[in-house]
Amino acid sequence: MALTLPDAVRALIDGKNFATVATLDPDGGPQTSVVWVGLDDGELVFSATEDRRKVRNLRHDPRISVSITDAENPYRHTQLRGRVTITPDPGKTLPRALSHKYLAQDPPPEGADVRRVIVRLKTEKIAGNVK
Amino acid sequence: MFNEATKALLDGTNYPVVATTNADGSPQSSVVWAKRDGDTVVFVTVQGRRKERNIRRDPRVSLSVFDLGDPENYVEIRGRAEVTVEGGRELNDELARKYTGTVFPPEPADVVRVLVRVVPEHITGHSA
Repeated sequence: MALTLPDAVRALIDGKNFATVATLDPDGGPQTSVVWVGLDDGELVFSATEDRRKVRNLRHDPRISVSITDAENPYRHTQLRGRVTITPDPGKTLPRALSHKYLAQDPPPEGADVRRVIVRLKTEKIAGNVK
Repeated sequence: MFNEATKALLDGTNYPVVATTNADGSPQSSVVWAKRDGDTVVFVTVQGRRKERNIRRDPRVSLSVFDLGDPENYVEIRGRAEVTVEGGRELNDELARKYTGTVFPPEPADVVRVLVRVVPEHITGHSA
């Protein structure tokens, strides 16, 4: 059962804050990477290409932990844990929206063979001092 | 081991995220204060806290850090963590000075600060 995100957490996701996502490698060890995030339908989403290690990891095990720090006041941070769903993004709508959110410009052109997906977090647990 | 860009990221007042694995195998992550110590990264946690328990069970960690002023500049450091009680409180004060400019507020005696040292095995990312 996914949690509804509190307003303070939504504001962190909605702001121009970078998130760090932790996934599991096939050997069970943790992997982290830095991503742009957005709020869609009240849920955290990020874009990735199909060939990225985090996507392969999440297809293997959908459990994820996401940490977000407030760029304006880095003492404020939240951690979200849960499971993700992965859906195709053939129109590459999410990278465009996120590029506009963070940089106010279109993303650089990408080959048609680059397959984009939308990773959506179903939050099960919220920790940190913003929750 | 660390290149100049990675050293600058770790020496700056940036906020690394450290990921460990929970007992059920799921990932856990949290924001830490950290610094570079030679070819390793050190941070502090509290004995008994989930991160410390996780590392004692499985020392594999992944730490990502980005430049707060230029977040496209980031690295992921993977390696193994070692936990020691010795030096924990001293490092806690040192990190408080680095990040806040003052010493850490006094804590109850039963709060045991431990030093976690990450010995890198693999470094990737934009600034690796």
